[in-house]
Amino acid sequence: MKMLAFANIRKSKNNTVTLLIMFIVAGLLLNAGLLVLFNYSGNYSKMTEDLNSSDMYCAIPSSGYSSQIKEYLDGNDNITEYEMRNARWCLADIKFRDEIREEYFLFYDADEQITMSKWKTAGETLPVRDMELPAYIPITYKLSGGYELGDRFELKLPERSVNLTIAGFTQDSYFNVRSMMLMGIYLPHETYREVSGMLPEDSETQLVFANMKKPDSEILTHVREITKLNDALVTKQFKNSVMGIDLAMVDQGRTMMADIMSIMIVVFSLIVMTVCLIVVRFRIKNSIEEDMQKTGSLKSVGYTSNQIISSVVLQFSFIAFLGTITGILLSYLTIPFISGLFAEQSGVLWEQGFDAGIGLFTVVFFLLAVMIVSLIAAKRMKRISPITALRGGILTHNFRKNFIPLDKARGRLPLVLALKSTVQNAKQSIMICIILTAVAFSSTFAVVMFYNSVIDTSTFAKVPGSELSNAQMVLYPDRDNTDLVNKIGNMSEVKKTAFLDYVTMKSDRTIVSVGVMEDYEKKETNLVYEGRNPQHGNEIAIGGHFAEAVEKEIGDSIVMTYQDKKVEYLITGLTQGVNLNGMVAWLTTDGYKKTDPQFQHITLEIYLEEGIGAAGFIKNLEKEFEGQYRNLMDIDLLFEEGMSSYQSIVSQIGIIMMAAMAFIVILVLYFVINSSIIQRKRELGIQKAIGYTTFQLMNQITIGFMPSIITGVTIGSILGILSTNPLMSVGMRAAGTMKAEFIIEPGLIILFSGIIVLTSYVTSMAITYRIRKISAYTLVSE
Amino acid sequence: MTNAIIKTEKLCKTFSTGGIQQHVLKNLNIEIYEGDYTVIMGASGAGKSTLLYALSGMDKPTLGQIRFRNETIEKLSNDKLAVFRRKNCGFVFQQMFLLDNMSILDNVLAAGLLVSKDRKKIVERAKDLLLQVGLSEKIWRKFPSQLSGGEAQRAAIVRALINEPKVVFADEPTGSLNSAAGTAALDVLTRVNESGQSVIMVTHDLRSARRGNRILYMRDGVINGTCELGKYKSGDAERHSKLKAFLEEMGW
Ligand SMILES: Nc1ncnc2c1ncn2[C@@H]1O[C@H](COP(=O)(O)OP(=O)(O)O)[C@@H](O)[C@H]1O
Ligand SMILES: [Mg+2]
Repeated sequence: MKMLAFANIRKSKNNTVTLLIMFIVAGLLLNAGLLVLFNYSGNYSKMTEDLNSSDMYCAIPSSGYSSQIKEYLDGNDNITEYEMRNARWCLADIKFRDEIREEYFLFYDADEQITMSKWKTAGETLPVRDMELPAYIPITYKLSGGYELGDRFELKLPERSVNLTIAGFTQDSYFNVRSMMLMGIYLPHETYREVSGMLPEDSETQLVFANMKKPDSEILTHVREITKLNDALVTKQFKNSVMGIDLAMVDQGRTMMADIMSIMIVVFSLIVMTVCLIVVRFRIKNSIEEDMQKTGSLKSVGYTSNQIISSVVLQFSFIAFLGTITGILLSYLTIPFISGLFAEQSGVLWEQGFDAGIGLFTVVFFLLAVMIVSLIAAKRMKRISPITALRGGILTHNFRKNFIPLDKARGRLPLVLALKSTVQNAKQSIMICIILTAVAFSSTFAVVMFYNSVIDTSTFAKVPGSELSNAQMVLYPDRDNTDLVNKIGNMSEVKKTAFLDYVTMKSDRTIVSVGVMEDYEKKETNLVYEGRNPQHGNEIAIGGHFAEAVEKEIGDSIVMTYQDKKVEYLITGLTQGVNLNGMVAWLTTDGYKKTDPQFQHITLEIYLEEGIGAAGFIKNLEKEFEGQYRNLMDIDLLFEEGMSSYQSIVSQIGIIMMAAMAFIVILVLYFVINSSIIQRKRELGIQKAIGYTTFQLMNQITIGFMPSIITGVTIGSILGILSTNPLMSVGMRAAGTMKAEFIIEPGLIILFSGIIVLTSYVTSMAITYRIRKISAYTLVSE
Repeated sequence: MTNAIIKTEKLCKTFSTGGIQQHVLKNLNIEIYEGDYTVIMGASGAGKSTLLYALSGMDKPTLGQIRFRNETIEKLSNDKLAVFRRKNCGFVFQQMFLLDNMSILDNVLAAGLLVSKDRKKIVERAKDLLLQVGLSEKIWRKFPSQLSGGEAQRAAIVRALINEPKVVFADEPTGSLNSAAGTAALDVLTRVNESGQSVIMVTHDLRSARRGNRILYMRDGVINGTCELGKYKSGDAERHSKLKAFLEEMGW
């Protein structure tokens, strides 16, 4: 039995190698995907646990700090414990890879004894004695910023530079990634004192870390009320705002991408796996026909059907086993790459040892699937009686119907012959069609992701829910800004301006972040996925997650509270949004004034005419209106920076997926066409004898596969177009996106489908080129 | 005597299998005449088939020259040879080599449509020829596996004739047929020759050989002798004994 299995493997060497490679790919992807899915976030959670990370933190400028805050913290039942810490902050330019970035830094005393939200060094450290301004900086700078131990870390402040030396890299929960605003730098006590001296007076900050019975964002809201630093905006005047965030949000922000991507990789590996199984089935069915006589003679010398079937099952299980094991081992080589891919977002140093559990699962899963499929496919051998088998399987060459008779068919001869073989080899055609459907489906998915992350990024921008203006000006709340706003609105570079402010309200005990806008027609980022934005003072649109939490629908009314003032609004629409885990709502200015009559807009979104850069425009504004506003931000730049890490992850994974798909197409075609040529050797020899050229026969075979390829690609692309958004909605639901609305660009998908078809054609022509070696003469001389 | 349609000069064919060289055709200078029914005889393994396939451009010689009318064919590329064959040569094999996956009519048309773009005309011609060899309409749509050996061989002959080739090459066409079916197939070939097409047939069967008007006897890769018989007439006893004497002389 074993002997038979290995004899078969040896006999069909090329096919075995092809199948082996496919199992390697599938095993690699599944194992890598599962490692990321189960261990990446897990690795991160374990870290936050080890560091005793608090449920939330907030940073209060020391100038705004008062004893009232401590009283509030002590008196709040919901707070189980808290810890206060002194730190310094600054805004500085820093080199990151090849670019200069502007980042907010927090400086800590590394020697201070702390119990909550601790930090640790990752990897080796250098001795700090004799080092010039030694510092421990976030691991992100090593993983994606291009810094190494002992390097100089130069912070460029407006007035001066601070030159630190990297003594080690750190991991912590709040201050490790750029997307969470602050980067933490830990300095030995002496250095901390020295650096503090270099920073301006007002850079001193009070940090509060707190644990709660029932985590919510009430602390932040209260602290802002107490300090009167009421807007959540990080402005260049950092001293004017209270920063803070809760751990749940940080967790999500840091691991969401890895989670989504790992699910994609797993799904993708299952598609490759399906292709493998289809090929195994095909191979077995084929060999039953090819080896009919051999089966017969084995049976006639006394082998039982079960023995012969076992040898087939063993043959393919062995290939699957070998391929999967190799794939699993190779997957560990990809870990540094994957880790690097997510590093900038997660700030997590991922050190993955061999995971026997996941490896075992991958192997067992694949082996079982292959065994079941090959058992079912080989079952037919039971029915072959030794005598019919020995007679050479008359059964199999039983052509019943002559499809497309040549005397009636129109069209060019190779084309007609090709179609004849498509119909005649219906099973094979269906198989190719199914495989190409799977391939086209995945690549459509990849293309959509690629398009949305690299070419038109507006949909990804909606994920965090931010408004896509070009510049943003924050005004002084206690002044009449009408004149200033009019002047800006009349500038030739400006297309339009609109006020959009965020306030915090409550619905029962839930804190809700509420966007307030005069006219939603002016909004560029439309977050409504059902219903519409509010138009009148009594209307409200609410986040989909929020709606589910309070069990409300469009048409219901909802009571919102601001400082004990309750107002009822009518729900007109549901929106996406990740702020506060989707606890968001939208009101008109009139609507919000019902609860807070003193409210005055201060955040002006500025939209520029096509082709005008925000950077230059902002320089102009700074000159022209100096002193008349509180802060001015380059949204273009912020967005670009925010997107760049998403872009690099999604585009790289998209490209890898597309390349892997092309690879699979080529392998499968090689496999099928090769078998087909072997099977049709006699037919091809006869055709050559009567005067067909190699090229005609290459075309005949290749074109014969095209209908199934084109059908498969079409079905797959359509399925992809129809299901990418629903699938992504499921994947991103946790992040507050209720309904993914990725742009599906038909032109690009058609282009890609065309590329798949063309690749298939070229591949097929390349493989069939070996027909030249089949000569008419070998036919007659054999 | 008419002019030569095929002429070889120093034709050699050597096979090397496993390092051992076997010279199958040795410096052959042969002329085949237009309109002849040429028969190549000889013992099994003498190199008859090898010669036939070299003459028809199915295989390339190792050395030497082959002129087919005014064309030198031994240097043509494989694809050029294919195009050459479809117009000039018709093949009939002992094993028939019909395409299993096509009906009889399609088998004929698969060759016919390769040359003629006039579908209607070629379909007409195919049907005509099939009727001529005694294959009635109810057989046209059948597959080769559903035919008797004789029927299949006649279908194969029709396929060989569909493009009106200059020469019909037949390699032991009766080899796998019973006597009656064999005679029917030979009758068809004789008629073909009578209508003016050249026929070259390899056989080691006396009954088949009688059909030819010129017999080449082959042994160990060389032509040992030639016998001119004149056109075939059934029941011509003098012709028959002349052939017998020749074969005896050759050591048959
Ligand atoms: N493709 C080939 N490779 C090696 N030897 C061959 C090949 N074709 C024919 N031969 C050898 O050449 C010799 C003549 O073969 P063939 O022409 O078929 O003889 P015949 O048709 O006269 O019986 C035989 O000994 C045969 O083994
Ligand atoms: Mg022979």
